[in-house]
Amino acid sequence: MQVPWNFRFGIVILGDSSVGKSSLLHRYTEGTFDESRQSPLGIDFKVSNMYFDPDVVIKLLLWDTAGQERFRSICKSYMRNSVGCILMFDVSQRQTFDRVRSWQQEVLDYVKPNPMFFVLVGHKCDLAVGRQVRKSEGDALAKKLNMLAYLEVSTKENINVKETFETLTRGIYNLFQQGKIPTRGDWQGLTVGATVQKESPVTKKSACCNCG
Amino acid sequence: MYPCSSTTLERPLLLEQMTVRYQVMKRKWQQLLPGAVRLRLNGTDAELLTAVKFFDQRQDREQKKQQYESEEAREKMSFLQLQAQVLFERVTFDLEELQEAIRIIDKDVPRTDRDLPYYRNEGLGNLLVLRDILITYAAFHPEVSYAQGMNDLCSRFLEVLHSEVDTYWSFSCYMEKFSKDFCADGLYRKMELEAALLKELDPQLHSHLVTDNMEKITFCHRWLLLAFQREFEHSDALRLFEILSCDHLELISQQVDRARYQERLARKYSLEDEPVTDLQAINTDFTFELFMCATILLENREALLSCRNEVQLIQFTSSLQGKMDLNSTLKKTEEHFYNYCKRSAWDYLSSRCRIRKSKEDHFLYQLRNLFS
Repeated sequence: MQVPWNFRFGIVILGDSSVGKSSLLHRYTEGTFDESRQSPLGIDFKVSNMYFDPDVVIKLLLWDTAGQERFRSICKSYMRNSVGCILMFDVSQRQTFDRVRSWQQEVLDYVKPNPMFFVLVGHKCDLAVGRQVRKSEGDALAKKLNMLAYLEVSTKENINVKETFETLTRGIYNLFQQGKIPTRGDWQGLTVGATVQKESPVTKKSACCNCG
Repeated sequence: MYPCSSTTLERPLLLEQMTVRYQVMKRKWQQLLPGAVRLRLNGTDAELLTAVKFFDQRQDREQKKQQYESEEAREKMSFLQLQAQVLFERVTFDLEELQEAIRIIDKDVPRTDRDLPYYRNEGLGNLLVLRDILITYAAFHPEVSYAQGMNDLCSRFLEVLHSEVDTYWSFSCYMEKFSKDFCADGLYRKMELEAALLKELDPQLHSHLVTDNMEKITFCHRWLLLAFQREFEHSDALRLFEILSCDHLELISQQVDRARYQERLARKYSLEDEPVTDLQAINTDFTFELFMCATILLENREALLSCRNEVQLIQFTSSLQGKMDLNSTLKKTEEHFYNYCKRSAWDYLSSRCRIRKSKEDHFLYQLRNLFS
């Protein structure tokens, strides 16, 4: 199934190990909740198309990473080829929240001079007991770190899953329209494909139209 | 798990000792972190609850069995226990690190491939056995601790050996050699080696896949880390794991070592006092596994050459999962391996020919031509 796309965004999902990165992606792309998945070693990825406005197709390359420190070097090149980042922590594990700041710093240092836009996700918000991070804290941190938004998500109950991806994509799209994201030839984070047309788009400019 | 030099008579005794040692080790972290003795359940995974139930039942049965043992056996046990306790008394844990490791293990163990027959029905309890083994390993090997992927690896030992104690010790022995693959530097080093090997075998493909920062070749990492576990069908993957672990056709195998040793001895006793030329004939770091990886790359050469970026590369390699045929891959790998050895031997002898213009010249030329 090949759909001509107008823009392609690379999006990477980061956060400590076992905060639920893979299950979020799985829920978004497959629509199911499956706990017993294999852990991604290094890197895993999915493609998904997002339609918005009249006739704008955005192709999302979604990179799922292994959170463990020692796999970090494997994930780095995929950070570089992304424009957006879903930075996750587990609301029931305080230490995963405490490390958000250093995660963001590390990513920004690494992708320089290219930009990276973040949404912060507090995962497992369905847990009634054992919550260790309040919503207000998440909101405050996202604001402080200049992120696009803070969302509380539950993959299990399917709360805010779609919204997470939409908020990030929409945010990046708007920033791009405002001219705040430059595109570079060798940077694959944000690529412009077919020109947006009122009728169904026919031409594809990019050389990479056969992926997925 | 037994030392190579141990005899059939010694082994049952060694097993007893290792059994007790393992139990003492396990009890040690359990006493220090009583909260971690049991898997933290979040109540969503019904299968996991059943797993815990089966595991508890099994433990109860084992405890009852112990009560019926004879006085003599119990005395012997308590002696061995004392010995083991003394041995591990000085070991200290970094509890914070260990707790972090346990957190990841608890997340990963349920993610081990439990569709395997070994984990079905009552076998579900085996997941918790796996958990104990991994935590004990992490506790007593803080420099390695736990890395994602070890659950898959250790699970293979458990499935085949079906014994907690044997699995622990076999896994530890295996990790003595391979733990570095699970550390950040080791991963990187392996991919560098793979790149170097590919350069020897196919410079064009090498220049397509390998950039200065090694970014593109990262897709091989999963193959190498788990010995292609996810690329072949399960029984094939198990067989391959055994093949790779036995060091057959490896430039570091015992046979090669022995041959080298004898060569050194011979040189020592030969009366000729010629300068020893230390030409590097073959790179012994190229393991069979790396050859295998290279073979798969070469097999898919055209497809890989047409991939223009990391995205396409990783898509392509994911498409290979579960689709490769082990026997033909092994055969081709063997060919590449022998060709590499042959060519290295030829190169080596050629350079020897150039260096030594002595009476053996003719012989060396002849020898060299054998490899061409």
